[in-house]
Amino acid sequence: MADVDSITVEVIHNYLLSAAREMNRNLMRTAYSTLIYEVHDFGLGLYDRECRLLAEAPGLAVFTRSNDYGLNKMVEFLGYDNIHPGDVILLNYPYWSSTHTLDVMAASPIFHKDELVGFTAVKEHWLDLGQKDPGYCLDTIDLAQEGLVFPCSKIYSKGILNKELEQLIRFNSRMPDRVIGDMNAQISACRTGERRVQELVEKFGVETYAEAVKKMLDHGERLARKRLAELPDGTWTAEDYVDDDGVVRDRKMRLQATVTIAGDEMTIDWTGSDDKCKGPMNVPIGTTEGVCALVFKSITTPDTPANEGNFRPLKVIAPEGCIMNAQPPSPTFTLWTALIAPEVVTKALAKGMPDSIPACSGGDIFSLMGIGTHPDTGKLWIESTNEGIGFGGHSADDGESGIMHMTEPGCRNNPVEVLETKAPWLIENYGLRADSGGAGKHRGGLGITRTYRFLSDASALTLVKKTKTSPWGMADGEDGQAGAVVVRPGTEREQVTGAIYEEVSAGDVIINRSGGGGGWGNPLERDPSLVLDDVRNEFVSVAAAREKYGVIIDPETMAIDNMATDKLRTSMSSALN
Amino acid sequence: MSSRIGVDIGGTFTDLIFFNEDDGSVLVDKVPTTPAAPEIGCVDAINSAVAPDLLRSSSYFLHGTTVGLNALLERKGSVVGFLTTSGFRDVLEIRKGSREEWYNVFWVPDAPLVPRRRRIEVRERMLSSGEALEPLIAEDVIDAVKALREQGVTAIAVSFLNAYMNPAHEIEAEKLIREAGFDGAVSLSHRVSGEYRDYERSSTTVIDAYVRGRLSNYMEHIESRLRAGGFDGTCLITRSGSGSMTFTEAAERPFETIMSGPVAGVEGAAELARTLGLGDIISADVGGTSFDTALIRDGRPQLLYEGSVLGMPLQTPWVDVRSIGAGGGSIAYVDVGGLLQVGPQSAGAEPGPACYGRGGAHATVTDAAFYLGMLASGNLASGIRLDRGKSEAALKPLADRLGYDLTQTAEGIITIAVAAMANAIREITVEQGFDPREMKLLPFGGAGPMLATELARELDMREIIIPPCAGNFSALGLLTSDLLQSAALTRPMPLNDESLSQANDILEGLFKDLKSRGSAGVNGTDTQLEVALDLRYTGQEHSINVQPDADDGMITAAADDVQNRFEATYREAYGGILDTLIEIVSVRASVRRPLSGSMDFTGTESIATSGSTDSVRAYSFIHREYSEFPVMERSQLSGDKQRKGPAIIIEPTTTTYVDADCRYTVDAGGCLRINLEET
Repeated sequence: MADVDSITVEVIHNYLLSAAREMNRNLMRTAYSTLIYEVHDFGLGLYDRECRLLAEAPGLAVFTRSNDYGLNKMVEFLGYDNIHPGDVILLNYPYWSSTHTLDVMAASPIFHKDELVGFTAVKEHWLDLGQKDPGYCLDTIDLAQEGLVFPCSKIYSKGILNKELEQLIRFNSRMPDRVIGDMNAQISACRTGERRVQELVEKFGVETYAEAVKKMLDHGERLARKRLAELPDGTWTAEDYVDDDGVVRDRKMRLQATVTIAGDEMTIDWTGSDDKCKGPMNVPIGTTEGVCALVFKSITTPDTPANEGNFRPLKVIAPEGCIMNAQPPSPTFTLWTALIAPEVVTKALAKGMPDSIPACSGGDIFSLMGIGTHPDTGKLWIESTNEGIGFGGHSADDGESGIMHMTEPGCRNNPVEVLETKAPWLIENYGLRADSGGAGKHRGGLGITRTYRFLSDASALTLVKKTKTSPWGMADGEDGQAGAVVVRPGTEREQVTGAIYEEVSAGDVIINRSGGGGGWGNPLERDPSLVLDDVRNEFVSVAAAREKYGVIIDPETMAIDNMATDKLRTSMSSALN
Repeated sequence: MSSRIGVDIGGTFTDLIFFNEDDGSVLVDKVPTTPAAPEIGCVDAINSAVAPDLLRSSSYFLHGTTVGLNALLERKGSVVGFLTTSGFRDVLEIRKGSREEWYNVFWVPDAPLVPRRRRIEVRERMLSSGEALEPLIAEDVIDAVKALREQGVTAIAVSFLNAYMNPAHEIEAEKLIREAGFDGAVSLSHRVSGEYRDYERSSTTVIDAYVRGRLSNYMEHIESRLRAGGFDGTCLITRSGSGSMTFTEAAERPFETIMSGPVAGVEGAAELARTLGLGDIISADVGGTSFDTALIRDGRPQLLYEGSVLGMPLQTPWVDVRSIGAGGGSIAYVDVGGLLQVGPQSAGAEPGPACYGRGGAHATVTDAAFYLGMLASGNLASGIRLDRGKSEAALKPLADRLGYDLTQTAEGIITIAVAAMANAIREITVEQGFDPREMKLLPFGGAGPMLATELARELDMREIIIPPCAGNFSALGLLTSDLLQSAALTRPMPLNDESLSQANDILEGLFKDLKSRGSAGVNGTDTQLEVALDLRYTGQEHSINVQPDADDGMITAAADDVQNRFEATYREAYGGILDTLIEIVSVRASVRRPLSGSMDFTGTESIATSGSTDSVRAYSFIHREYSEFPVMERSQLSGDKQRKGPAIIIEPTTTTYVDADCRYTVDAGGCLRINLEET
């Protein structure tokens, strides 16, 4: 075995990260779909020959490690003997690929001369594979309704395009040109990764490269274990609820996580969560591992790039057939359970380390999409945007307002002016929601509200699955206000809901209101001058200052009545005790 | 006669350069920056270095400054009030919503420059068609001005939705603000930028209002003192988007100068590339704390049309300079997992690297280089004498933790720093579809020439060009910039001959607007009107900038020609084209005027140092062992024939390390050229 010095390890590590970034850039620039270049709905990385993650540059944090499980399944299914230079393999069988059918993983082997040295993997959201409804599905009841499935199908075999498969895709998609365009972007990103790793192996030689990679992953493991060892040992359990499964609309679904830290190891166990559901909110085990990895990363090694070594101390358990370990043919399309799940884990951890964990965020990504025929051009339009939420207060400070959910930190909202040029929408307001942040010594961040008036008939799709439970406060802090989608407000047909997919008429209004963060600490302990500052900025109303914080402010003079405040706070405290 | 004075104010040092057109001579000076009042330090530096008769006979004063940037960094700008469309005052605070540190759930962006209570909504609404849905309610503006004055506002930024399509309400609001008696600065979003994206345009408008007072006072001070000294020429300041603008125009559009710092060196590099016909080059500016690199193709730096400062977007042309925290002062350490890391923390100028002997205890890149002999005897121009014992003492603890000897440790530090720099260069080349191996490397700054051979080797580049005055090259670059003005307007429309004709109407308006901006006093020789279009495939968001054939500021190309050019650019960048309709997103106009007189700094003679030219023992990275390196004075190499490395070449403000596998020579233009052998 070659003896590789730590400097070479660092050089190779940085080169791999640069190569992953190049794949990311290549994909974003060539993609057709707004979901890729605006919402960054993709995950990609470079792997060694044992399918261990070396470097990644996902578009969304929820895609951290998202290809690990699928790549392993691919090698298991095809066998190393059936993987050749020039191959590009498609996988979207959700129980293996570990998201829904529309997130298709393309993977390619990397060969140095005749020797397999690793893999690239790029997963991206395809716009349509003939699933039950155009755009997105909220109520599938089995896999067969979710579109065309690729069980490790070679779109390129030894460098030759498989035209039959390409035609099969074309003939099974409602948007064949866009889908093929995005697929080509994805393949081009794979090729970029292959080329860069080949250059690297060429430069250092196979042995040195393999040894450097081993040391790099061991280093990643050491960083994570060291941090885990500093955290308190214990076992903590928490639960939260997803609004419904999309088919049975009147029953919340329970998620339960038991987190154990023992020395430098962590286990996250989903036993106790609901059994599989009828609608498409079941989560494949690879996705469950991915979201656990995201939380694990954020509390152990948030400041270094992710690799397989980081996650060795983490063990994830989910009983087969429970909502967190979907089995065929359970529907998995909507996936939103996986967005709610990370904060069930942090809620459990908060019981053991209240000073290191923030209260709950607004809890969801607040997606809204419009689809229709544009009255000016007669052409199809599809526009969508996600909204920021309030983050939870924590031991050191207030939560931030209007910032993207922890699963999608790189996501960017779509500007009002851009949306109005592309879609027949009049956006009537876009702002922070006063009083939506949970009261606390450290206040929760504020959610956002954006109001859309449809100027022509269209379909509207909203996807929010955390409206029925409030973002939890911590350490005596109050809950934040849950988000909601309000359809046709002030009319007879008004609905206050989360997820809809329905026809709307010209003139109809939809309000997308994102959740505020939970508060941290007793609101009566908040510095009155901070409460005044919040009132002057209209983050908190005069009434809430009095009712929640016990601070009395004269709305005319904007001054605190200190005597009355002391008195009110004393009586509120004694009422609590 | 067009003698020029250039002053570049950096965080640590103010660099001055004077070019005498009479005899082509160059005078260089470096003085400490006076952070509290850089304008005073600037003029003092000129007065002490440039004789009064030379000042009187100079045509141009060109300036690069971080004063606008510092006002933002230190939050010492005007008290700004913000007026916007009813329902949208939080656009500034919501930003794009993204988090910069992915896995850090505690990350927060900087607070907006204008707190919510000074962001006031007024009733009005323009549609994206430019049609007014609701008129501007005058009373709302008047009430808002009153409320803002009560809050002590000294500047007002106005940004209404869709004002890029129809600015009528913003213009009306300005009138109302003035009628209400407000006499502070007023910035209107449509004047700042004609492009869409409400957050980005609003952010630019607020930054404009925020820095305007500070920058105006600053420029007034400099100009009046220069005038008092008899200077009769034109005062110019560098733009973030390359080129320079007059002080008069900069007072109206201060946001265009925010990133003038690292741009000057890139401008110099571009000028050199054009003059010497160097082809595509990569600039590598290595200072004390940062490494700044830019790609120069066809003699021009790559331009972006949006910049960002401290997380705040600026909708203005922006030279694509990538910066990373790796420089001569970058600190090396061993992380908790046991791997050697370098930067981004820097020892700065105080205390500086350990070998400076000013109390720095951490090993830096400079310490590693000095230990390896790359800095020869270590006598710096500023009078500092490097202390080898202190470098060793700083390297020792790292070596002990790594189980290496001092040489291996020092070599590792250089290798890691260089690898990080190479990755930054990969970002602007291979990651954009360009191959650095076909390009030349142009290193400058205090530490650039020291690391150049290793950096070129890491990127498989064969040719290095070290320009004249490499240690002060940024200031030299200032002197070469053209006067440049630019404007743009967003008008999404399908690409066809009819829309190109509309684009010409837009261009006419843009050029008219540019002509009305202050540029008095510039005796432009040949004015060039430049035209560009942002194009994209319908449905995509990402657009590509294309220059169609044009004559006198009007597009003459047919839609088919424009489409061909777009497709060629797209194919070059992304390998293929799409079968989708193309649309025009924005139309861009610029006016470029080269300054009169010649500014040929090639052939500039190098200045001799007082350093020793005894040979030193230095480390060869190619042979991985120490050998004797001759030490040469760069000023003695003029017109020299090709020599074989190794060598250490000294000049007053930088040191060049030439490894054993290189050949080097000084060409007729005064550039030190290094060629790496094919491996």
